[in-house]
Amino acid sequence: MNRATWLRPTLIATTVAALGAVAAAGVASPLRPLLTVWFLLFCPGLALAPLVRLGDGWNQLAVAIPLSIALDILVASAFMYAGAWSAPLIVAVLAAISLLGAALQARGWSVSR
Amino acid sequence: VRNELIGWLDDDEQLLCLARAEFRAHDTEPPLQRDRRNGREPGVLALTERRVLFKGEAGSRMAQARRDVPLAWVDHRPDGRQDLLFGTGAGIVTVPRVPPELAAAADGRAPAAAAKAPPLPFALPSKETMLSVAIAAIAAALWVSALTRVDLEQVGDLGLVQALPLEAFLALALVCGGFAWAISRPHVATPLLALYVVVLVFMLHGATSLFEQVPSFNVAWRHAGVAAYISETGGVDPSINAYFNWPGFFAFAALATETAGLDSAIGLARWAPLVLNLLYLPALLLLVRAVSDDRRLPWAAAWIFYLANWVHQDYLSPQGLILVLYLGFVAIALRWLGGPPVATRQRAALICVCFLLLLAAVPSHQLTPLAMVAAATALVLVRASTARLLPAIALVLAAGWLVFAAGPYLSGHIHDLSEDVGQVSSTVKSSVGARVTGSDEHVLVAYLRIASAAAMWGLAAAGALKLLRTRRRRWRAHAVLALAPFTLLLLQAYGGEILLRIYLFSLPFVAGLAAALVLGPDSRPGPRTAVLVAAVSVLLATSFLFTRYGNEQVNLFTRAEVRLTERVQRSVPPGSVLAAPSSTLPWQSHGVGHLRFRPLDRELTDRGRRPLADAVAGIMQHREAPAGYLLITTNTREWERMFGPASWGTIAELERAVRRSPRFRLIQANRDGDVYTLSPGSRGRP
Repeated sequence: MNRATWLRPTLIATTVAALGAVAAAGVASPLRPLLTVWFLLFCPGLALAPLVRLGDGWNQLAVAIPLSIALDILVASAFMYAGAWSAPLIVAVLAAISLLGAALQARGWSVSR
Repeated sequence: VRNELIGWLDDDEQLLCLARAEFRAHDTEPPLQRDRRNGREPGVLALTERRVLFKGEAGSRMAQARRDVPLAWVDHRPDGRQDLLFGTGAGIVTVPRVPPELAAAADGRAPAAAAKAPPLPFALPSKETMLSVAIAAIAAALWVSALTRVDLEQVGDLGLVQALPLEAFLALALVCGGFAWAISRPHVATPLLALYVVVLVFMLHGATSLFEQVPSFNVAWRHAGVAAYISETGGVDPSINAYFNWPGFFAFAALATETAGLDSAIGLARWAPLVLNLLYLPALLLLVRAVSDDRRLPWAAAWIFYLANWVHQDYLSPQGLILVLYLGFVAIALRWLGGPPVATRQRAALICVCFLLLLAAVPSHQLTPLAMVAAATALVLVRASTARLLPAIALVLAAGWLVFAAGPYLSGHIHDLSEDVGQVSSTVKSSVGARVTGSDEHVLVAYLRIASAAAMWGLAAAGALKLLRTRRRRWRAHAVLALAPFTLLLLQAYGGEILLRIYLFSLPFVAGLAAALVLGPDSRPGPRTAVLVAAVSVLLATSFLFTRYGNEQVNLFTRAEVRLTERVQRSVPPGSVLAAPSSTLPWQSHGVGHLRFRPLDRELTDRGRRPLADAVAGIMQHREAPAGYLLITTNTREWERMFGPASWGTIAELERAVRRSPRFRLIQANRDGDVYTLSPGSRGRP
């Protein structure tokens, strides 16, 4: 496994773990908003966009960031309209999407295979 | 040709091999770039550890990341030797006689010489690079030092520029000069250009966070209030206002607030402009990379975008966040659904991504999905995108939401919405003429905004003409994308803001065309480029200080003002009426849905012959409201001073009237505001 293959999945998994730990402990730290913003704006997209093999990092970010925001909005809106609003649950769904994408990346899977 | 090709390499880029090659353009490319022999153009190909570069004898240029360039071995020669083909955005580069080192490098095997050389632990940057980095760092430090010393008392009707210390102007000059130097050097150092763009974004769009006492701009507080409603109730009430009919962004803001452990989404507002502008960057780069192989142009276009993005929609707002989806959507359509063919499954995945972006944009903002429809249609019309169903999908989703989800709300406001349809003349008038009002200084700022927008569109038009003359057909997409948002003029005046929004939607493409004009379609390094880039940058940066920060006088709040407003919102009984001379105070951040907010400039348009106190009391009375409160803050006075009094009179008259009236009582006051309550005994009176 080369550096490019494990770096992103590791980063995503670490973010999910850190966010989970901070939220569970109820820690009020300046790091928590930073971690949240990083997770919501980058992680779901960074987990999925590289599976499409789009080229260099800028190309991947150009797809990953909007994709992250879109997934956040869609999952949050779905819970809201279903009358089941729960921020921890929404984050759990987004974390599951992120971890699934990260696992596929780690296994070297892509849409063209 | 060979030497020029080597000159394109970055300082730290390792050349693996050079080979004679031939370029054959796709049919859509102009014939100018083709040689007479079978449409093939001879030239030289260079392969480095990260890029494929080609320079043709007739002028074709290509430089792309290796993983962006698919390669294929083709076996059709009688002697059994294979040709090596590289697929690029513009055409195909063929290497007829493949040298062994190219074969090895193309197959991913390191050349023998490189394998033997011990790898360096790190490469020292050149002196020029270190100097460039130092200039950027000094500019940023000067800017922080200047902005943290801004005396807010000095901010006047021209805005922030009146309060800026001299170092701030020096910092801007340094960053503009440094970028001009970095982009005009013979070797393109991408990390350096990225550093300058990030520093510029920090300076121009992160400025308020360095000097504001509390998050600025009343609308950001209102948006925080909608997010708070979702957090508190877990749902939306579409009857409250339009925000609740397009709640996608607010659900996102509520999620971010709760997950971050913040009390209110306003905690996210301070850094929102900086973060949002940085989020735009990758898509801005991709938009230019989709139509040009030049390595300088994407950074120049992003640079111009940030210098000209003064429209202030990048605060904690749906339009600020959903612009990321708009840029991503157009960039994907342009780069992968209209450029060189991509694998079927890859294309299907990218169409799915576009669908998801549309699906998220539609319930989040009224206007942006329509801009996405216009952009997708324009791309299909000029054959810059082959995803012909995408405009139809976008239109169906946007119309579906309007009819089924927001329909009940819209049916109650159908007159307001339908009266603008097709009224281009009155829409333009409300977007331009009606905005040139206020004090003399503010009128000057308004004129500067109009001049700045006109100058940008002028630069883009000149750039488009230049590109057309040199037959750069791939750039036609930028020309139509810069024009496509103007179709929105047919639909809505959008509260007199439509031209601002059109400017924002067209700016990424306008900036691309302007960059191609300033640097040339194939950017040429050298002192001429440096001078031109520096001059345009300094001009735009100076204009930006007036156009973006010209309203700071009424956008900034004090801590005392926020304390007073928060205390009232949190302490009054549910159902109470809160009135204020205008909306320019940090209110509606709590109590949305159970407090009644009444800005008098909108609610009290005609008081007839009634005394002012009675007319205001009438607005503050509601049969189900347990109490009524009137807030008069410093900011509402500043707003009146800048834009003139409302139709019912001045705030000074209002204050005199309520102090004299037995129906009002002053219950709270601090140095930046007063709160009056309508006496319970007077509430039954008409």
